[in-house]
Amino acid sequence: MPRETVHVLLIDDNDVDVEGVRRAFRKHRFAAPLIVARDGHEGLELLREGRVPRPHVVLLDLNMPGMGGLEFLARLRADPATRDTVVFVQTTSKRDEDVVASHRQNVAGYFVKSELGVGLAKLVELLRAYLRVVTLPVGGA
Amino acid sequence: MNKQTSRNRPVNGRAWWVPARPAAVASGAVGALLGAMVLAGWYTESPTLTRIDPAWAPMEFNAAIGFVLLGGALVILAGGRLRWARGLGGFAALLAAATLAEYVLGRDLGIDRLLFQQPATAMVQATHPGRMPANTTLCFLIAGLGIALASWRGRSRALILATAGSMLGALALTSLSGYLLHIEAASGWGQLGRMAAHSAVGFLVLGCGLMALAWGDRDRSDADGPGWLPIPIGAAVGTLLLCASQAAADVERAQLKTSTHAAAEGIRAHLELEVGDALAPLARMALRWEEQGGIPREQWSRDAEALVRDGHGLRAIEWVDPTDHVRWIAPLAGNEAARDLHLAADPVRRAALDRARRTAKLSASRTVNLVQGGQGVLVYAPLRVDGRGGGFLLAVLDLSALFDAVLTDEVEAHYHLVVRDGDEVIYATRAPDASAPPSVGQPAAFEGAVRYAGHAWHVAVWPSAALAGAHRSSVPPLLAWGGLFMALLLGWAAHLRRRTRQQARALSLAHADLELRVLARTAELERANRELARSNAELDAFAYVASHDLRAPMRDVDNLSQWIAEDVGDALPEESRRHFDTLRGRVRRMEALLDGLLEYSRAGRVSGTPEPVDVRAVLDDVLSLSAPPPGFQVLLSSAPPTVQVPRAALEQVLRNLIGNAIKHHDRAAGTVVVEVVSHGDLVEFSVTDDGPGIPLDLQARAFAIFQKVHARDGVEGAGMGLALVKRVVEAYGGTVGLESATGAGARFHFTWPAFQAP
Repeated sequence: MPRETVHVLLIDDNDVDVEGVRRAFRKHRFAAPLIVARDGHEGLELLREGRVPRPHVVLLDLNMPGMGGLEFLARLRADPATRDTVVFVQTTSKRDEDVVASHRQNVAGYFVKSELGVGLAKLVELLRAYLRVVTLPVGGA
Repeated sequence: MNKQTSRNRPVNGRAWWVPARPAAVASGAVGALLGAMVLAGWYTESPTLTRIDPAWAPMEFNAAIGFVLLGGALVILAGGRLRWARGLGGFAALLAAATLAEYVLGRDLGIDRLLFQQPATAMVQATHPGRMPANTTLCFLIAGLGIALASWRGRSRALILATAGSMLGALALTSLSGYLLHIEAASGWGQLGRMAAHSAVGFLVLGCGLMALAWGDRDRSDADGPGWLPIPIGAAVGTLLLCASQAAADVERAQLKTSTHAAAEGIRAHLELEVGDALAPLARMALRWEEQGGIPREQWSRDAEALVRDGHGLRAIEWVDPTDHVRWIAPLAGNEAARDLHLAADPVRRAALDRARRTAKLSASRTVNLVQGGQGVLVYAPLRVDGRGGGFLLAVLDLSALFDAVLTDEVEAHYHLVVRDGDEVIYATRAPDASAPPSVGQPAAFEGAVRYAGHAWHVAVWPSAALAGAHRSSVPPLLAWGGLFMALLLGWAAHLRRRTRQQARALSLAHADLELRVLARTAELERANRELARSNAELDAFAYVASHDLRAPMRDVDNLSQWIAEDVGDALPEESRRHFDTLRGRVRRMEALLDGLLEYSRAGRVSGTPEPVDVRAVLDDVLSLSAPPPGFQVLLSSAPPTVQVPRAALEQVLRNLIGNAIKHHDRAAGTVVVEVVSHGDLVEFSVTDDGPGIPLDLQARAFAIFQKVHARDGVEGAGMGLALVKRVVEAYGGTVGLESATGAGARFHFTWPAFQAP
């Protein structure tokens, strides 16, 4: 059964990391369309305006200028329209506080960038497997 | 504000406040008025004013002058005219001092009657006419000196006034009590005169005035009365008791004198009676002789011998013929020497003989040395027969026999007795005790005459030292010593109180200073603590920012270099590829360093709380997280069931130590032994490996940050492990140590304070 195309919203201010994700998708032939936001504000905007077609998942960095990842999560969960969004955190921070704070906002996973393997192989593998078995919310709430 | 105005300012709100100055002025005025009244009494010759009661001692003219002076001085002192007060007080003191000098030197300096010649009627009983009594003089000296000294404003001014006033009061009260209780001894000092009753009243009033002034002058900051208070009280009590002692001694002396006088009069009368008993039969025999015109010799002898046997000091009775020769002697035995003695040959015997002939009465000779031996008195009874001289009957009185009959040992034990015949001492008791011979001491307690046969002996009697001692009780010395003791005690109390206050003041000052310093130190410490907390937080923030923000670009470099290598692919020369690998190795190392830094900065924080921990479980957790390579085994050799430590910190330490042991092992297989020993107040852990050991010279640096003991390429590590261990253990109050020898493995041990189980 062919599944619907899942869009990936990547919120990260680091060009190199964005490029890394693009490369990884390309290298591992992961076909999901990638939409990029530079910070939390932009990400929220894109989601609220429906410019990221559902079903979608969010790859979120925590430390960003402007609106950081944790604040983005708080606003996302506070808004009924976006409350059901599936979010993976991928960040450089290994701090317990960040891990705990993120899970409190019901993230689907917390990845530390340096541990995602050569060329983000693990990330892509995980996303692919995840999207294969998990049914994502489609309609708006 | 100067002292004068502060002294004058009334203090309200105190129930016991005495209006000091008005009281002092009033008492001064009363004293001066009293003096003026008595002066008027002397000029008008009114005994009512000078002595009030005829039986009482008068206030001398000089004393009246003294009261006028002192009363005026007190009024002026209270009024603040210090110079005038000093002059008047000083003059009164001078007058008193001169009078005292008269007493002490025993000379009349002429000041007693300098200003006023008392009428003769006023000085009937006075030993020193016009002179003030000694106690009155002392009162004037004290009061005058007190006022004069207090006129200098000084710190002890109140003390001087109060002491003078209290002593004055004590002396006056003693004298007054003498009048009220009819104890003359209390109002005067023996021979040194008696204070007049109104003098005593006047001194009492002046004393109160001085004390009122002192009370007004005290330091009002003392809530519980002036600190010098015990001194005037001590002076008053001491004076009172000394006066009482003196009075008691006086009373005892008077009693002794009275009893001695009575006893001596008895002795004198007894002597007179004894001699009379001896002479009366002689007179009767002479009467019979004259009536009968002579007595036959045998009958006379019988009668005379019977008389001599009766005693009364009679040694012999003789008949002297008209030619003054002794013819008959009864008894003859023992008196043979007197036979045919020509009595007129000796002037003393002849004088009495002539007097008897002349007066025709019994006539006694002065004391003579008897021809029979011993001292005696010859008493002649003239005989007239038929209008012619018939010779004399002569009684020979033996003095020693006479005195022995009267003066028993009991009398001699109690009294000194001296009997004089004219200038000659005919009898003197030998002193039964070691006291001085009475004739050179004080005047006799009794003097009287024993009269017989136209002659008289003079008798003087003193109480013996033993009798005087028996009349002296322990009361006067007890009072005197008690007075001195009380005075010293109260003085000591004043001193102690003063010193205690000074110490308390110094102590409270020191205490306040200490408190200030403690406050300052505490503030300093709090500031330092805040500073420390702030810098700790800053360090944490820095470590986080550094580890995070530095890590991102490092990873970017890593990623970019990797992509370049991938994109260029095989076109990259072998050497460049190796350089890329080295580049990425350095990046990973950099990241490891940053991780270590972050962990180290967090290790200093004490966050975990002690809980009962099963060391075996902790060890299992550690091993499951960092699985040791096959060939290595980690053993727990011994451990108490649980130890009370913060679990997370223990886990961190054990993980690092075990990881180190395996990582730095020089063989592919090895054993790590963990041991836990509880020492009561601390728990000791040790981790021992059988690896290569650590050379001695490197052991000192082993726990320093970023120190890698083994510089081998194969072992990755930031060199943070041991530094981290040290930091964690020390943060919880423990210690770390290391024992090792090259090739013999290493033993790391650390202690943890055993926390009390909650």
